[in-house]
Amino acid sequence: MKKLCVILTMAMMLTGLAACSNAGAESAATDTVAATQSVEKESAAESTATESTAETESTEPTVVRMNISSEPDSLDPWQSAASDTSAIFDNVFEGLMSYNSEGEIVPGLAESCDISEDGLTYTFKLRENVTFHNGQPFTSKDAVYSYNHLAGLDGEEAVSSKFAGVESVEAPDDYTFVIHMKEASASFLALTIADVLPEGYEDQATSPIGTGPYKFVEYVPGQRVVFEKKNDYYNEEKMGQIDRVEVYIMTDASAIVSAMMSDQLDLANVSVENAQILGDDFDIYNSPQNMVQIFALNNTYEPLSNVKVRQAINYAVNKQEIIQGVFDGYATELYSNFSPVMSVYYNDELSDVYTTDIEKAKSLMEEAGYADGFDLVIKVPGNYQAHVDTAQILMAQLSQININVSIETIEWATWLEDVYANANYQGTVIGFTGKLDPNDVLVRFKSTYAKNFTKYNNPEYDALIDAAAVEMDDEKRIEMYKECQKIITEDAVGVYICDPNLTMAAKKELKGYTFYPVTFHDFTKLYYEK
Amino acid sequence: MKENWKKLFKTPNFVVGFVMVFIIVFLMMVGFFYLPYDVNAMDVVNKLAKPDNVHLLGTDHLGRDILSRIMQGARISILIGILVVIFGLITGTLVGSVAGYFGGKADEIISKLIDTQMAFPGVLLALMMIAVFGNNLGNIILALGIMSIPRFARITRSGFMKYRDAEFVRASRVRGAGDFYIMFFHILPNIVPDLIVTCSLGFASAVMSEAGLSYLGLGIQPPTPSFGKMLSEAQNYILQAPWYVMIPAIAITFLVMGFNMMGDGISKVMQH
Repeated sequence: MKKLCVILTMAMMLTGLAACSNAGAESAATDTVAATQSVEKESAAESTATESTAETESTEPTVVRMNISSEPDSLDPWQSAASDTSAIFDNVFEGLMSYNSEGEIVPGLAESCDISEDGLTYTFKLRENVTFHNGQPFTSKDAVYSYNHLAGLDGEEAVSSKFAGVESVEAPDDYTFVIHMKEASASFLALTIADVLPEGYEDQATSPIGTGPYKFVEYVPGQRVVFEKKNDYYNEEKMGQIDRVEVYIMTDASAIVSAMMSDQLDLANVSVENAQILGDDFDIYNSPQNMVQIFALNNTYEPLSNVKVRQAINYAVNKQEIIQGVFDGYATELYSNFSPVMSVYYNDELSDVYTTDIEKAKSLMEEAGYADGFDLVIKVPGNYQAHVDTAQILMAQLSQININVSIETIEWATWLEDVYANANYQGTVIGFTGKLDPNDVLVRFKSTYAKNFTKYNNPEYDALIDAAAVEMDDEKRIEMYKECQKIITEDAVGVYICDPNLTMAAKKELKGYTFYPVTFHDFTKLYYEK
Repeated sequence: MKENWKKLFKTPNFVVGFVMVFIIVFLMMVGFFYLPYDVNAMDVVNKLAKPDNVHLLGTDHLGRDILSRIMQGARISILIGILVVIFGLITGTLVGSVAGYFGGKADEIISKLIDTQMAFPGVLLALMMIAVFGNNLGNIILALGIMSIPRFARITRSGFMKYRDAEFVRASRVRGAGDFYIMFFHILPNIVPDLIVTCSLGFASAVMSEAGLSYLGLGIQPPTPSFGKMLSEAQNYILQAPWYVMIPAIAITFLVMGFNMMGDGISKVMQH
């Protein structure tokens, strides 16, 4: 009996171990997701043009097998919230507008978009030769259906509160679509990348159809999602080159590496360490991903409410040490809550605001009256090893200015509840995922924003970000967002650490993987080199 | 008694187990007086260094000396093992002796409770307690301690049932000895050998559970080293730095297997 007991306990522990190795790998994979425009990428893009025609003529169907680290949360794009899911399904669905690898908003299903002087009317000229995957032609009826649903004008709950600004939509003819707004919003155009679905089609959740360059074929829960090229895609330039893409759901980092080595995958999202193991036999693509890893501080917690203390912390943190220690150097140092990937809005004059200087940090602590330091608890979600490791390095760095850090690893759900929703914490380390719209990135620090868990409260900042949201002049708007970045840097809301790279490993023959400022695996750019 | 010790050291299981445990305990004891490096001193430039004469067991993913962390990490594992066993031993023996000695209704209630608890997965209980009462060492020990009660209670209960009507007990009762005296001065000494075996097995399973909980990110908080924590941090580097995973894994194996084999050895000797 005793022995049986021990055996049972051991068996139980082993199952426990197996279960969590998955969680760990998943986090590792997500952590290292995203982007620097590498040389490889550019050369790949060049050859894409030349190869594409040759590839479509070949008779043997070409297949790319890749991995994603989590199960799709819904096949219906309006129900799905996970970025891992849209990363592959954005090949199936398209919006009126689209985005390119620079993060610019470009025409999608709409050929053009006219915005009225007052910013209240958006007139889209729709493409005429577009069909959905079931053969049904795409017309303004589908756009009306989609936007009525997205904005909740059809009496059902809106898909996202972001569309609350839409007053009404109309379709003067089959290929013109008009949106009337309640008030002007400079960031609305970025929202029109929202997926447009066909009117009257009920099976989106099981057999989704869109207008994109790839068709959904099958989804086997826990195993794979399969896509096939749409041969009559309307846009020659964006036509897929690979006939079939099989996406395998794999979470374990080591399993992914062995799958790559044993030729079961052609393309995979891997951690930096594992990329080094795959080494010379594969092409490694590496690019910042528009993520902001931040050491967020609760600005209402007693010592941290003093801006000098927060600045002292910024002077004491050596970001390069974190980048080397945690990300093996594959990350871009940040100076504000903004990644240089979003080059248009990026304020590049902030790199000198804080340079690591322990003496300066100490004197700031002294001015603030905390020469003897204080205790600080950093809550980190335990499933993200990179954040836990970062916290450990921060602990060592902050001990130099007498801040006595202790780390509390908590579960992801607890983090979302305690830290993100209720701001019940002192310090935390987390990554903000990339957004295309600068407003989405910077609004996190607006005092009235529900999820502003730093509790930063600066009326000047609030006013500026509100003004930027309705400023229709691009130049002025860009300046305003740059100013916003400057304010949150100088006020040291937190320590903006780095933008960790997304690392993809691909077989040598497989070329063309392209990074976007949001998580998106663009199948159409992939091709095999003969 | 002396003879038993001699026999023990002639039992291969016990000797091997003893050597395994001794290595870990020795490392821990040395660690109280001397550590090669500060356990939290990071050197990110030399991270994942192979074992060499600067870092005898290499460095971890943040450039910390693995040997120093093993030496200090052993403290947590062994401390938890000892406290959990003491908790389980005292509570389990008390409960089991009442059930076994008095029988009847008391036995029925206690046995049913223990059966209920045994049916409940131990790790789940620990996870629940951590979720409710917070994540600290005291709660982990309490949770693992509660988990270990049944094994002690059952052994004690069966021992007491065996001896409660034995001749020497009846003789003592006739002489007017109280229940308490009989329970703890007459019967208990007879089941001490069984309890010792249970202790060694309980210790092994507590070390294992702690490692498991830390591995799940729930036990010990970083940067404090413990075997389970080190293993969990090392798993991402299994391909890049296999020795980093091997070292805490071997340490856990030595401690758990060592105590199991010692328990085996003891029970063999006692059966003869």
